[in-house]
Formats: sequence, C-alpha cells, structure tokens
Amino acid sequence: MHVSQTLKIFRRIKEAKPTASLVLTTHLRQRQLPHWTSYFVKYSDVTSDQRGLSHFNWKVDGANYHILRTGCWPYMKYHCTKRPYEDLSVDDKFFRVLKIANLGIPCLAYGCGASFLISCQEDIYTPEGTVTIYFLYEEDRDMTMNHLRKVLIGNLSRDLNLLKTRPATPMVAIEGSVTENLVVKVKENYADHPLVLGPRYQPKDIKLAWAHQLDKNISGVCILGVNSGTKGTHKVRESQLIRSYMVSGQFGRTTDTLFNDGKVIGKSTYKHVTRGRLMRTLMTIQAGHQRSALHFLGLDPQSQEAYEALSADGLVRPGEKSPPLIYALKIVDFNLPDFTLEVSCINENAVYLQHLVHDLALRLKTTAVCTQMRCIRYGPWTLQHSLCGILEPEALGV
Amino acid sequence: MNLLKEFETRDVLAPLKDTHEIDLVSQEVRPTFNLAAYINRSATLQEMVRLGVDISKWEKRKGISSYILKLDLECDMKQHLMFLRDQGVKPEDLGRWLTINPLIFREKIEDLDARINYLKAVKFTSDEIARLISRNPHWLLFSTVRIDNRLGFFQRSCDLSRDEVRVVAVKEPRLITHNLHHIKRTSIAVTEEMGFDKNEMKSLMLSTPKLWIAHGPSLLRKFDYLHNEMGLSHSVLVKFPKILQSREFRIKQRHQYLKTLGRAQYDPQKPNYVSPASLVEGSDLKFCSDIAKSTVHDYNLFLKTL
Repeated sequence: MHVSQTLKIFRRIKEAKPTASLVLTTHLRQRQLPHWTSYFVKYSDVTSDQRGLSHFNWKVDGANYHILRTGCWPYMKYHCTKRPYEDLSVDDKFFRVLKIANLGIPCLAYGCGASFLISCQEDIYTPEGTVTIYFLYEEDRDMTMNHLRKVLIGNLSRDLNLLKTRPATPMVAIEGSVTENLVVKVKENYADHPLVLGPRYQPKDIKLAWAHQLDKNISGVCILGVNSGTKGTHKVRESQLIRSYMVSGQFGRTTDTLFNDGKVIGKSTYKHVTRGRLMRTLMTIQAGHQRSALHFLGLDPQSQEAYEALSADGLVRPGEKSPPLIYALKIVDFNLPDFTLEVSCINENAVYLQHLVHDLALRLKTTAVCTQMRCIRYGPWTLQHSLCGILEPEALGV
Repeated sequence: MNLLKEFETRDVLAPLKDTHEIDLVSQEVRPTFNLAAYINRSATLQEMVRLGVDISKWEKRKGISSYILKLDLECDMKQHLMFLRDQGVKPEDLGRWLTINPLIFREKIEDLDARINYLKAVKFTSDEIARLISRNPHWLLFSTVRIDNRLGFFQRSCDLSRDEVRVVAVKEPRLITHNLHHIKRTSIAVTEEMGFDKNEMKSLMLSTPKLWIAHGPSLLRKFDYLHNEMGLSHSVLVKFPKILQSREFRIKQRHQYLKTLGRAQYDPQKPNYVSPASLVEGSDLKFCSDIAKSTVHDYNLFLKTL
C-alpha cells in the first residue's frame, strides 16, 4: 500500500516534454521499424515541432517512412508507411488546403471519435521522458480471460522493468552536532532503491479491462484496454458492436457439453444433409432473428420513429439489453461431416453459439457438435489488427 | 531510556544542562508496512542491499522482517557469509541466495559444518557441494538425518546406485529437498498413468530429474498430447526427454503447423524426418526457417486461425 502510494507520487512529477519528432523516431525504433504503424499521441504530452506538416518523408536508421500527420484535438495522429523516398510537397500542400477549407472540423470530430476507440497504449521511452501513445487492438489465444490478464500484466511489468527505469532520488540529511556546526548533505537514499521498494512497475499498478468476455473455448479478436485505455473498452462495450465468429461443427454426434471436449451422448446419421438444405435452414433462423430484432428496438412498431429506423441504412440494433440476435449466417465450408459457419451477432456468448449448432442440426433431423469457435471481427477490429507473438524477420532487419 | 524518562518529567521551559542532549533527540520509529521505512537507519539492511538482496521479497514473507531487523551484521551474519563464500557460493550470486533463504542466519555454524562434512562423507566433491548449495539455497536448512533419509528414498524408489543418486542430485539440486509427497505422486504418474516401465523411469530420472518437480497435471496433459495425438512412443520420449519439459502450447502450435504443412513426420525410417527434440528447440524464427521451411509471416497467420 505504502509502496504504490509512493510510486504514484513520484510518477506525477512532471518532466520536460519531448518533441513530437523524437517520439516518432523512438516509437519506430522501439517497434523495430515496422512496415506500417499508426498511433495517437496527446498534445499535452509532447512539444509539437511538426505543426503544419501533413504528408512528409521521415528517415529512421536508413529506412524511409511516409508520414501522414493530422492534428485531431486532444490527439495528434501519425500514420507511417515504409516506402522509398518521394517528393511529397504537392500532397502536403493539398492536404493543408483541404484542412483549412474544412475549418478543421472533421479533424476535431476524428479526435473525439478516437478517444472512444482507443483501447491500447504503449509507453515510448525518449531520453527526455516517457510518453504514452495509444493503440486500437490486442489479441487472445485459447486460454481463460483471467489467465490472459495475468500473463499480459506480468509480461508488461517485467518488460517495463527491463527498460531504463527511474533512478533512486537522493536523500537530504542533516549531520553533525547542534553545538558545533550542522552540515546539510545529499546522500544515497536506500528507501527508494528498487531492491527495497520492489520493481518500479508492479502488476498491481497496471489496469487491464476487456470489451467482451471471451469464453475459454473461443479464440480470436479480443479488445483489451491498458490503464487509461480501460475507459475505451467500456465505451466499446456500451456501443453494442457486432461480432463475427467462425463456428465449426461436426454432424453425427452430440455431447453433454455441446462442445468437442464433452462426453458423447448420442449418434445419428447425416448423409441426408446437403449444402442446399443447410442453407435453407440457416435462412429460416436468420429471418426469425430479423423479425425479433424489431421487438428489441425499444420503439412502438406502429410509430413513425420505428418506420424511420427500419428504412434508414444500416442494421437495426437493439435499444437496450436484448437476448442474442443474429444478423447474418453464412456457410464458409461444407464438407460432410464437417462444416464451418460465419455468424454475425450481438449479445451472444459461447453457450449460445454451441446451442445454435445443436439446434441447427435438430432442424436438419440429425445431431451435431461444435468443434471450434473463433471471433474474427469485433466491430471495426479484425484478425489483421491483432498483435502477434513473433516479430517477422523483415521487421527485425534480418 | 533513563534519559528519555528524564526528558518527559523535566520542565519544558527550563534551560538545557547540556546542549549535546538535543543531538540525541530524533524522530521516533513508528510501525510500518515495509522495511523501506527503516533502511536508512539500519546499516545491516544497507549492507544487504549492497550485496544485492531483494529486501522487498523478504518483507512479503511472514515473520522475516521482524526477524531480520533484530540481527547485527558483525555478530550474527558475518560468520555465515564467510561460510557461504568458503563453500563456493559466488559473491555475485549471494544476493539471490540470501533473497531466497534469509533463515540461514538462524543455523549454528557447527551444524552447517556438520552438514557439509556429511556431504563429503558420502563422496560429493567440493565442486558438486558448491553446486548443490548455490543452486538450492534451502539445502543447508535440512539436517544430516533428513538429507540422508531423502538420498536413501531416491536410491530405493528408482533403483539407483549410489553414484547415480549423486548424479541426479547434482543435476537437479532442488529435487532432493522437494516435497516427497509430490515426488511419489509424479513417480506413480510416470509408471501407472503414463505407462513407462521401471527401466524407462530410471533413465528419465537420470536424464531429466526436473520432470519430478514439474507441475503434475500439466506434465500429464503434455504426455497425453505427445503420445496419443502426435503418436510418439515411450521409447522415443525416453530418447528425447527434453520435449516433456517444453511448454504445452509450444508443442501444440508447432505440431499443428507442421501437420497443416504435411511435415509432421516423426518416424526416422521415412523421408522428411523431423526430430522431436528439434521441434521444441530454438526460437520461432529458427523453427520456421529450419524445420517448417516457411516464413514467420505464414506461421503468424496460421496461429491466428487456431
């Protein structure tokens, strides 16, 4: 308790702000010169030395990047792509004219939007202090969320401690006797030594939250927020985005858990199931859900508002809490007895998806068991955004 | 103490007899949550930090803080530190050693000498003793009788000769002082649940004694996957015991990747043989280029489909 309090106080001590260009260079180096990266940095964290530049070349350790920079208060957005040197002064002028013509309103809107979407952040260690930048994604593998949380927080604090951490602050001591003369000395302060206080970054200092609780049987996209990013995950959860899953199943047997790992409690034939029949059944299920979507709109079906909501573009999403709703069902792969569906839905959970496969098979007069569930999309975030365990050799410069 | 009592009873406004008395007045020491509050006053603790001891780990253990504060460097600790140095604990290792086992200062030097003499009597060389002590800081807390019982237990349970027990002990010094119930449980798992025979268990014990202090359920799961899913026989596992030590997800991911590439071929008689040892060795970069003969990019894409 005492330790973390002390740490918090020390962290609040303000340091001189590094320049935006230094943060850019350090970030690219810290990420080992990726092909592509995009991040937000707060105006309040850096000194902006690239004001007015919109599209320009940036050289880091021999690699050339095309940078698209835009101010979107409270953030500055940097979009970097690794490309050979080109003359970008025309582009730069064009973007500047465009921004002025729009009075910067889209930029401000982008900034406010981004504050809701940001769910991940990273500290950039410049010689002039630490700056936090923010990201939009994270990933998951087949483990429970609590385990994932422990692993991530453990790794984050371990790796942050490996970096150059804050040195111990010296202590002021008054020595000598009152009768003679007292000497004021600056001494080494053992009370602030990492071996005494514990490592500078501790797991309990890191907050981690997720937008959606993934069951241990589900793998795939999982949006996590670190520290101030936890607010972002809350916003993501509130906004009721649509999730897509790849659900694989197998006809011919059923288990007590309705998942692959359970005890088999029934077997049946499945030769009569064809792609067409499966498709028809899926359509029926989907149509039923579309009808019921109206009930959960939170509006009177006879009213003008309901008419407008239905005739407007986009999906009809439930107004408040609703049971699971399916928006799209597609066959991705059909190879008896195995099949894979793509399910786009809202408010679902693992048990619901397992039941979906089970009920689908019953409608087809057979039995089936779910073999794999993979979340491939969560709102705007897809598998491509998710972080990978291994860096690719090009990124390492091998 | 008398001085303090006198201070309390004396009139506050009366002039001081001796101005030096002010020097003795200092802030009182209050109860605290951690040792950091005391360290600037305690030369002993400061010396420990200079040795590299992680005091923050000490204070997490119950009773250690109050025990350590009462010790004095000169009379309680110096002899023990000298003893450890003489027995071959490296000075740069001493901090880690004391972090793990601060209770060593409770033992008498004569007892510690007797324990070392016992090890010499059962023919451990001085290099081996240095390894036993520095790799397993808790070893010296065990009395000669207990260590003797435990060495005997390993000799009996796995049918080892005296030399072989020594080899096992030196290879994994933590094994001998480990919880015996856990050791017995693992032995049962190896013979009954996994189905290794007596000789195979003995060779596993000689090659990788570390398996016996591994987490039991996870070891069983790994064996189940290696034997039933990947089809590696008992004799192959005994030949490549390293694979049982590697992490479960690593084996699974790599095997599944090789399977999708059609390279999961662990039979040395056939072409395109992949040695089970090389499956778990090395970084993912090396695995992709040498074993899977593909790129890390493809491997990453594959991992996202699991």
